[in-house]
Amino acid sequence: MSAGETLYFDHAATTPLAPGVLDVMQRVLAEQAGNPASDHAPGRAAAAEIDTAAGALAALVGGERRGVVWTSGATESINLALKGVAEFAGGDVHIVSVVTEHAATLDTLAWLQTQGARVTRLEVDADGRIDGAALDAALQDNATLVSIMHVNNETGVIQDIEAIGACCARHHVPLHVDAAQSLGRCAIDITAMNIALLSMSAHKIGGPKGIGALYVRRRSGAGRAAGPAIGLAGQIHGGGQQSGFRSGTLATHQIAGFGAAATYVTTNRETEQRRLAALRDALWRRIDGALDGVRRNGGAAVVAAPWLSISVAGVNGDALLKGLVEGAPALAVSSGAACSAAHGQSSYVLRAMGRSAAEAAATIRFSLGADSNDTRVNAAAHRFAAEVERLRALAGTLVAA
Amino acid sequence: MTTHGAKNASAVPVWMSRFLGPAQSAANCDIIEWHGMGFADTPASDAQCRIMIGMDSEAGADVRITRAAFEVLGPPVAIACADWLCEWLEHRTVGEAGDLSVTAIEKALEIAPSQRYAALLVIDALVKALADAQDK
Amino acid sequence: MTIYFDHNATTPLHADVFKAMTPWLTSAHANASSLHRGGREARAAIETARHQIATLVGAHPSQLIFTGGGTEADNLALAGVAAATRRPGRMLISPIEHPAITDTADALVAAGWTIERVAVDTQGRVDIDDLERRLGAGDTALVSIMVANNETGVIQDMTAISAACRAAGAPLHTDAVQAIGKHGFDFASSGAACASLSAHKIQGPKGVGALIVDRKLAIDPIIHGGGHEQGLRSGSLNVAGIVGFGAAAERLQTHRPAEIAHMRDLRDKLEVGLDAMPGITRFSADVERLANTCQFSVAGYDGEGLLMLLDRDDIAVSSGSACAAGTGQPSPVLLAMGIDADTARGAIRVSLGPDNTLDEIQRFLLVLGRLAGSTGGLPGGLSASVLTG
Repeated sequence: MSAGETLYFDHAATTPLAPGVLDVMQRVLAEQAGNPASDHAPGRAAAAEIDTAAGALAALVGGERRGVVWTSGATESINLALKGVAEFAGGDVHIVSVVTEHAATLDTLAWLQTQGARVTRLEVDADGRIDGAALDAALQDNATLVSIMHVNNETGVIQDIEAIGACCARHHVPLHVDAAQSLGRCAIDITAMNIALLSMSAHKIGGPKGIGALYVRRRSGAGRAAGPAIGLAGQIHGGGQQSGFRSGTLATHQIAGFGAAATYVTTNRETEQRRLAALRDALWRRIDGALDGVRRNGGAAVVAAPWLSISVAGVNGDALLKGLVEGAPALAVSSGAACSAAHGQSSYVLRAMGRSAAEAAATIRFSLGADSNDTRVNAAAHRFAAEVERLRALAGTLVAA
Repeated sequence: MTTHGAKNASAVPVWMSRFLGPAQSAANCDIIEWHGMGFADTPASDAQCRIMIGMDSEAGADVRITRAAFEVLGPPVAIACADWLCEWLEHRTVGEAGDLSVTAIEKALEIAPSQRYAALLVIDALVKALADAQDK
Repeated sequence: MTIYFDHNATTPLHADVFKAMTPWLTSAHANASSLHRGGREARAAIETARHQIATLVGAHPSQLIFTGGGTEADNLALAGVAAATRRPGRMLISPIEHPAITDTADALVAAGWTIERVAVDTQGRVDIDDLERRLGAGDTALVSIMVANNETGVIQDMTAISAACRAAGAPLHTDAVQAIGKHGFDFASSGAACASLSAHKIQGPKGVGALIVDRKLAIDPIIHGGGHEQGLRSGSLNVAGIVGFGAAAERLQTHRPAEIAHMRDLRDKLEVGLDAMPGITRFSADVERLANTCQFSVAGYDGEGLLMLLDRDDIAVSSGSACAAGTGQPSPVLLAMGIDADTARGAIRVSLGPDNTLDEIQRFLLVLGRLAGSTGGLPGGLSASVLTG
């Protein structure tokens, strides 16, 4: 399969490496092969690469180098944030989160409940956003931690982290933000947003798979109100690297790749997101113009630039997805999150926004990225409309009026 | 480099081409009047199927099916089963059609056990179509 | 040009491995969980790698769970087995395990578990009688004993250990991270219920490892979210890293015998040279060790200080494991073997790789000889003046 044959509209699932990232990784693999924890020249050289990368990530989120804890990915970061805070706090743990969180959060919270923690899951409105008053009320009840995803992976809906952070600060409850989908797309300022923990993923921003980070607020910053250092118990033990927050040999090339991607996206973020928003809106206009019975999920004003989630009437969701990805030209999109797709889970995110089971099941997620352009958007719209029409024709009189 | 296990994890099902380009859909077909039509559904799998059959005469078990077409609103495997069934039905006698087993479809399309419902669905619709043709 | 004698800490990525990884870092970048064609291809590549690694270690592909590294695999073994039990019980470990085992064990103690350390002899070999005695004393949820030690290279009698565990009905975990590349490991015949592996110890990429798990072992995940890897390890798979791991395993399958022979030859020559020098004490000298490893101390020298002197001469070795670097503490491994703290603090480790040469060994001996000769029987505590020299 050559790159030209597939229309790739699945950047929320994963992204190709950003320009320059592969070169950085290759250089580091060849020249900085030492174990960064080793006390010799090759080890120190590797450690220096890691320090540079930490600086790049810290800059992207308005934090400091030493706050960056490297993990194997956002899933692990989220596990570390939730379990680490729960373990450190001990006693009566109460975590407040949202029904539309990623499986990494929901499954970890479910496990913490088996260990005796209390969990409150806030509902969302038809636009996919939580209600500030509901959060406020939940925080009256002795909360240990609030955990919220900044941008939803299925719909692209953006939560108002600034307001949420302010609410958490008022209640003196630390805030963990799952920024796996928002890093490099939305502006993040951990101080202004009162964020104590931030989970990040490299392969969503043009970095390699298998590396992520958790930003951990280490101490009160000077100037604007920041907050106390967050207490966190490491979950992966052995050797005490990274101040004991996360042991294990650091993968220098992976971290360098993450840093290079972070640097690249810092320079380009705003213009790129504006470009993608325009393309995404054009994609919707073409599809909406060509088809009846299609509906956009997530209020347009609060959906991150790359996302277009469309529910389609009169087709079976599985047939639509397979028709798009297996036919020609292949249109790489998703229905539901990539992670839950293989397990046949229906979209709990869309159900939480009030969509019927049928609508939720027949939903396609387009997520745009670096290689998206007018030509591809036109081709994708055309292909999408053609497949929907084909399937509706196959259904004939069975399609509900 | 070996590719053991690759088949299980990632192979395209043998019936995919039928799903992508079915020849027997009613939409593809000029016939408006059918001798028999039967509807079945499997709500748990979000699948609905209508089978339409045309015949050469209206007497006894020697009657042959001249034409068959389908409508399906459902997953790819259901569309594939319906397409295969309609192709298979052409020139079969009503007796042969009535004897078609789920296993035959499963074998022909190499269907996984979890997708068995699709074979059951189209046979269910076929049985009703045959009964409908009998009644007329 | 640095002489790199620290392969137990990490190994350089093999060129063939990088070549295998490249497509998965460029055009074939899909998420392995995605249902489109790219996702399918990524899944296929992962299954190929799974098969390659399983073949190398004598396991079935379905027994292999990919993790973010050897440390995580060790954590999963202990904490995962602990999580699957109804209430805290007892585990046995050796006192010479990697910190990934000992630190995880300490964390379990904080959670109410009892962790006992089995006795080892002066060579670092587990005392089988002591193991059997402890196993006989009560139920054991897990025994964890590494095949080969990362510091001294000592290789355990896994046959006797697994027999004792089997007789007592206690599941056995073994950290095979060091053994794979320098000795060999066959899971099927090992008697172990689970075993840890790491890619970057066999010229594969850092950031990917595996836990081999027998179906019968009761074990829960320690990373939740999405249920990947049969529910035992959630998270988007590191396709390129895993492909690299597989390529490294396949390459090793072919080249390991020759590489082991080469490393053993160099290591043995190194030891002949060391034994001819004054004031050198070699550890685990009398038992079977990894073909590439030699840990020793030089009288009158602090290990950290010696490390720095060698580093200045462009020679990279380690004192104890990489993890403990800079702590100034004597190695718990050597202490457990009954070595006194001063001698233990003086330990440095040479761990060779297939790319090392006799020339490098000779240069090392020259440099070391100069340093060792210069102590001339001076008392311990010399390290300060040596460092400022």
